[in-house]
Amino acid sequence: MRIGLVVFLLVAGLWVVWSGLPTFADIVTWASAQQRGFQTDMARSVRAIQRGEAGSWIALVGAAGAYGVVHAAGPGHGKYLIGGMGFGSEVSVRRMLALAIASSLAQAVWAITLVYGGFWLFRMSAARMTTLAEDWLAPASYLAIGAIGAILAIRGAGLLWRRVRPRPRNLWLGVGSDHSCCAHYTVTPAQVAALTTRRDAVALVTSIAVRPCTGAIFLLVIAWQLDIHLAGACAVIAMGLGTALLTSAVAVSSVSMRGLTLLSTGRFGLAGLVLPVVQILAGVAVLSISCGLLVRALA
Amino acid sequence: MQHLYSIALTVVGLAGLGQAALAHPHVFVDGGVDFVMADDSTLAALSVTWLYDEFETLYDLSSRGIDLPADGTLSNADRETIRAAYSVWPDDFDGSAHLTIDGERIEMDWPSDLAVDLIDGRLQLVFRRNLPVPIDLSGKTVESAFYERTYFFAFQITDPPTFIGPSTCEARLIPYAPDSQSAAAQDSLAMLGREETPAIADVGRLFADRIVVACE
Repeated sequence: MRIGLVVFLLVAGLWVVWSGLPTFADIVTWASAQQRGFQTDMARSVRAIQRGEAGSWIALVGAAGAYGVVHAAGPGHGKYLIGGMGFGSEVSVRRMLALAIASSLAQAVWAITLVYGGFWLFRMSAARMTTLAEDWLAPASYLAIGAIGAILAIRGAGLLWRRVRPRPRNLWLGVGSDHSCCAHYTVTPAQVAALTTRRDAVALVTSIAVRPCTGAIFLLVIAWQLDIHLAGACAVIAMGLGTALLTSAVAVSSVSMRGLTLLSTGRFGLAGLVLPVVQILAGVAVLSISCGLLVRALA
Repeated sequence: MQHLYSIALTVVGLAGLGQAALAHPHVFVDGGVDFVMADDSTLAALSVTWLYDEFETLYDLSSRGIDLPADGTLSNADRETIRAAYSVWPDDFDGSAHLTIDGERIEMDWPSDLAVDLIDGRLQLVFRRNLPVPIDLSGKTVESAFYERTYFFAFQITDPPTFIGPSTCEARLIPYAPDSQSAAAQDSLAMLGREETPAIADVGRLFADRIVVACE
């Protein structure tokens, strides 16, 4: 019961912090000013590279990395997918971290491929590239993310069904030795098996990475026009690493939150039921957020 | 009981992830609104000034195949390229200088007389929006709010408002101040993906600097 109380306090605390946060409008102004500052830093270091000033490369990479962190603090960048997965599936912290970093880096590499490739191979205009990202890749990403949410929920439902369905009594063994009867159920990764295969990981990373970030596209268009291709590519990778830093924080906290949930329920033998329920909820949440974004993107 | 805790945790956790932080604009535009007068108290047009941030300036020029010139001035050809690009405004363009008189929204003509300049590495656009018919402002409540509906562009008034032509009116700048209304809007913005256009109508208005004009 004590653990329950701790969890309750934690929930209450989170709730207060959360519902209190948006009213601190100073934070809004602060975040906006930070982003503007780093955007200006990027612009100035790009011009310094043009003029051939020493150290300007480092300045650009640094500014882009910082921009990645600040900008990723806003919604998007697959954070809710990573968070939902970390919370609703039996994936280790280490694996979640790897997924978070891989998806941010893949997103950066894809942006570079798209912009440089588009200019070089297809002589596309910058406006067409932005349109492609907004009108096609964004909805594709939401669709893919939504599908992963649905799969997570369905797997959770299947798991829940296996836990609660009436079990045929084994006549040969008799009631007393029926091992499947379940007061002390413990969860094993094999049973949950959500998002643990290589195929799952690739799907997750792809669904996030398919949609490049606007800030990266802007920087790459500038770098292409000013003929500082390598500097632009390095800066966008740094931006991806900055984003990864924030996404990783989400990944770690979501896994810890899952741990707390299981801890609070595990000693009462309910973990076997709670995990699938959590998985269903996480999957449905990811699905519904993606659908909302998809509808808005197609509107 | 334990079920309740964990479900509560789940809900809070996911709410937190969905709204992990606050949305923010992509393009920052400084500038302001000046009032073009037909006579002492009759408004004929608004003159709108946009000064893009340095990053957006680089992007805007690059995307039109223009290098930012080393000497910081635009060639006539570049100026023409930009003017041509900005002569076609998107259908949903809302002009950024929203004018209301006695609480009623005044529709204005499409932008005209566009002037393009480069100021300290920042692209500046100045254009005019004529009123279909000049309006006498005497004794009326006149307000111009400087914003873009979707808040993808964050506008800020940095040039104090002036009157162009004869005027007996006074203009007062009311900078944006965080209040509970914009906090609520920020809540809705936070639910959006980073690149989304907010669904709530006119969200930008909640973050707008405003100019109030009073004529004797």
